[in-house]
Parts: sequence; structure tokens; C-alpha cells
Amino acid sequence: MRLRTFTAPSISEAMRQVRAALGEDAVILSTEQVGKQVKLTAAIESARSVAATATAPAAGDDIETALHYHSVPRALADRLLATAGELEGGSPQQVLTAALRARFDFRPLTDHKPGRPILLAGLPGAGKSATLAKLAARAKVNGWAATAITCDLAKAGAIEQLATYARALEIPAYRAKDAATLRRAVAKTETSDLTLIDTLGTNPLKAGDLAQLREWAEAAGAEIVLVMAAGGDVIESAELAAAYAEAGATRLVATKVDVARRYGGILAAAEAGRLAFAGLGTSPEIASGLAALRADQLCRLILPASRAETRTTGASDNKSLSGTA
Amino acid sequence: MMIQETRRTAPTAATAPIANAIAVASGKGGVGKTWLSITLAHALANLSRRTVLIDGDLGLANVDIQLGLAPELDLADVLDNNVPLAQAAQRHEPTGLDIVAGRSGVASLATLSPARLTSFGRGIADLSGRYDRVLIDLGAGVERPVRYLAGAAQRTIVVTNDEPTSLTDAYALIKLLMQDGAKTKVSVVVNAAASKAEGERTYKTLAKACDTFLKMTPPLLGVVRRDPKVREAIRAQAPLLTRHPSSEAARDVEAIAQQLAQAS
Ligand SMILES: Nc1ncnc2c1ncn2[C@@H]1O[C@H](COP(=O)(O)OP(=O)(O)O)[C@@H](O)[C@H]1O
Ligand SMILES: [Mg+2]
Repeated sequence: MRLRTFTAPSISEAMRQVRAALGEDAVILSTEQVGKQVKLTAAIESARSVAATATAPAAGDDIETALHYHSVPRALADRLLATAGELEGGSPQQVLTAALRARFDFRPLTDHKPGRPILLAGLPGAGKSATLAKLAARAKVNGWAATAITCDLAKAGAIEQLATYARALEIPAYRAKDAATLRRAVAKTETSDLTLIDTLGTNPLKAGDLAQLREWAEAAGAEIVLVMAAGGDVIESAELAAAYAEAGATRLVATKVDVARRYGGILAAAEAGRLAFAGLGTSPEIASGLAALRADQLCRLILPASRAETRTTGASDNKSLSGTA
Repeated sequence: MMIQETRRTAPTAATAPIANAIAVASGKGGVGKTWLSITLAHALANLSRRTVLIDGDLGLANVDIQLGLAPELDLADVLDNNVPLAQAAQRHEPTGLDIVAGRSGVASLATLSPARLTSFGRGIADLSGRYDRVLIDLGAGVERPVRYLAGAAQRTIVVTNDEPTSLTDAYALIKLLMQDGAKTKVSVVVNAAASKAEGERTYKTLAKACDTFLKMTPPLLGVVRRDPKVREAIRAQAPLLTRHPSSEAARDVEAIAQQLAQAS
């Protein structure tokens, strides 16, 4: 519920302010004459809040409610809650951040120059090419020399797309049609600080696809990083991650976070594949680069900052506050 | 009466609430919950009800501060070291209350692990057999553990004042208790009201919001007027009912205690 008070010389003026601030659905809770002024108290309740379980975690909610909302698998939620239980003290945000840090690995791709090429793998449409471009953009900011190689030959326009990104970012781009050409392309990138390899969208249900992925990674001497869109089905995400981990993936970049609301899938994926969190795609903008994904960012996705915190920092406006919307 | 053990995570509501337990909650801090809990408990003791007051406001333990206690044992000993609640409940002669003090700076109820929360609830149920009334100052917040303890009590008093933030948080707490299916009887106390009429107006605002959005209306238990004697007594670390027995706030709280002293 959002509740606000309005003071105006007349009731109609006060009503106008209510409509302007809270919209047509506002309910007048009380009216009062204060001297020559009229004081109105009005509120709105968002429709979303009617169904308890469909309510996005609101500030002030607890960790358990949030994990439930995100459909974090039971066993994982239990482990996080158990860890959180050991960490009493601090806000729910602090506790959950600490629990996530204890349960997961966080190794952002943009923190250090990786010792070997990075091979981006994942389902078709997971956001591999955009991730490559964002990583390259970030590498530029870091002052690293980056190189792009694509193995994504099957997809129409893949090479053109890469060429466009590469030109915009002024980095060399190569193409590889098989493991042998990939090996030769990587050999040419000796002076590169960050070699990024884009792959064909793999079908992890096909043993052949995963075998090919492994073959490429070996040929390139590359680390496999799984690129996965957030918001996917929890079990599906976990199974996918396990399959890619089987093929050698060790880190996870979560993409399309801006167009998802539930993040249980990426948590389940990291857990099932024992993948370290490596990055976060939060917008379609290439130039914004890939955000590092650390425990506190992950926590913020799951549990928004609390009202208690805004209150103690004095940031809240005491005339208007959102309740459990 | 036992509180049902829930295995997985923080439980939501006890199966049967503790008949003589009264939880004092507010959502927002600083509305006078702790002061009201102490004064209500004191008034109940004056009505010859054997009363224990549990300071569940772990983050900002202040029953002890408001009364100037130096407890040997407190709730942290109960929660961390398995000291029985009955042992931590210490007699406070000036009021005739038994008090389980909180402790400042340690963990808050909000982050209590599910297992410890359930066992705390069980401890309260066990303790309740020795008393006519058990008052629990739940501290601020609307988190699950706060709601769990409210749900474990037969009655929950939601304290608010006339500030929009306080009303919003009181509403949020009532709504969440309802969504939890908590079997506690919720009623409202408007504290620090400029007058009885102002307090009733504040109540009506909250009641209208509940009625419109939740299709339920928690009853008004009472209005406590704003009274400078309250602050004065707290500064002196003396109970209001002893220091200013005929003050407006004292009489308002006594009227509420009269209702709570009747069989719930
Ligand atoms: N009825 C009242 N009249 C005047 N002041 C009050 C009244 N009730 C509470 N207060 C003031 O509010 C302050 C906060 O009270 P407290 O019990 O600590 O609130 P909470 O436990 O809700 O955080 C007290 O120190 C007291 O000065
Ligand atoms: Mg308090």
C-alpha cells in the first residue's frame, strides 16, 4: 500500500492532487479540516499484491520469502537458510550476501586477465555474442588487447554480426570452421590479453554437440564459460548447467537479467554445475559492458534493499512509503 | 500447549496460539511499543494478574533501559545458550513483573534461524503455564520471525501513531499476518495521539485501508494520548504508573489493561 497525505485549500484541489500523485484508483481514507486547509489521506494498493506468492519480494521481506518467490530449489534454499541462520546479525541483505558468498564461487571475468582464451557456450539465443561484445568492450576499458573468434558459422549472419561488433570495438576478429582452424586462429592471438571465442548455439541434449564443444575448447586451450539467460525454468536450468559442466564449463554468465523477474534458475544452474558466477548481462546495450557478478549484486537481485535500511539512512520520505506492494 | 515443529524453514503460524500470550508489534520502530508493553504489563500486574514481559526487541533491547535494569541473564542467553526462559525471567520488584530482558547489539529476531525460532516459541508456550498473562515486545519489522511469534500469541496488538510511515507499516504487518493465515486476534492501539478524537480518526484511517484492501477490520483496542509525562518517566527510568499514576497516558493504558485482564 502507498499512503500519502495531501493538504489543499479545497477538497476538489486536494482530490486533484490525489489523482495526480496516486492515480484514479486511489482510495480516500480520511478527510479532515485543518484550519482553512483540507487534509486528505489517500492510498493505493497494487493489484499484484493480491496473490501472496506472486508478490515480488518487497523491501522488508525476509530471505525465505524471497527465495520462495524466485523458486529457488528447496534443497538449495534450505542450505542457504541454514547458512544464513548461522550468520545471525545484520540486515537480511547482509545475511543473504554472506550466505551466497559462502555457498557459491564468484569469479568475475573482468577482474583479471584470464590466462587462457574464454570460450562462450550456451543455448542458441542465450546471449553469447552480446556477451562477447560486452566483454570486449569491458576489456577495452581495462586497457586490455582483445581478440574475437567465432565458430558460430551455422547461424546466418553470425560472422557479419561479429565483424560489426569487432569493427565498432576496433578489435581483430577471426573465424574458425573446425577445431583445427580454431587452433590456428588462437595461435595468432599470442599478444592478446583476452581472446574470446563465440560458438555455435549448442544443443546439450545432443551428445555430439557437447563433444564438439569439448573438442573446440581443447583445441583452443580455452576455459568454457556457460552463458545462460536468467528467468528460465529452474529444473531445466540446473540440468543444462550440469550438462555443460560435464563438457568442461566452470563459470557462468547470467544474461537478460533485465527481462527476467525470477532468478532461481541461475542459482540452480550455478549449484548443479558447480559453476562460479562470472558476469551479469543487465541490458541489451553493448557499450554498458558486462557487469561483474558478486555476492552483493546477486543478493540485490534476489532481495531488494530493505526499508529498514533506507529508514536508518534517513533516505525515506516520511510522507510517502510503499508498504508490501 | 505446544507449538508445532516445522522442519523445513521458518514456520508461519503455530497450530494453536498460546491462550494467554499478547504480542505487541508495530512494523515501524519508535511508535512507543516498548513503553506500551512495559506499562500495559505493569497495569496488568496491578490488576493482580501474574504477568511476564519478554523483550523480543533484540536489536534495540530497551525494556531494561526504560526501567534501568541490570539483568544477569537475558534473551540472548536463552537463544544462544539454551537457558530456560523461566530462569531468565527475573522479578522486577517496583512493578511486580517478571521480565526477560533483551540485549542490545546482538542478533535480531528477524534473522533467527527457523530451528531456534520454533524452540523459542515452544519456550514461550512452556513459560505461559506459570502466568496469567505473557506480554511479548516484538520489536520493529514485519519479517517472518516477527509474524511467527505474533501468530503464536492469542492476541496481537498492532501499535501505530498518526504518521503515514507508521500507518503504512502497521497495515503491512496486518496484511502479512492475514496472508500467513495467522490465528492471532489482531487489534489496534493508537499511541501518542493528540486527543482521543484524533486517535480515533487515525484508527479509522487504518481501518478503512484494511477494510478496502483486505476486506477485514481489526478492532480498536484503545487510544493512548501523547503525554509529556511519558518521556519524563522514561528519562527517570521509572515506571509511569508509579511515577505519574494519574497522568492521561497512565489512565489510557489502564483502560486497555482492563480489557486484557478479562478472559481472552
Ligand atoms: N504516549 C506517549 N506520549 C509521549 N511520548 C511517548 C508516548 N509513547 C511513546 N513515547 C515516546 O516515544 C519514544 C519511543 O518509545 P519506544 O517505546 O522506545 O518505541 P518502540 O519500542 O516502538 O521503538 C519514547 O522514548 C517516548 O519518549
Ligand atoms: Mg522498542
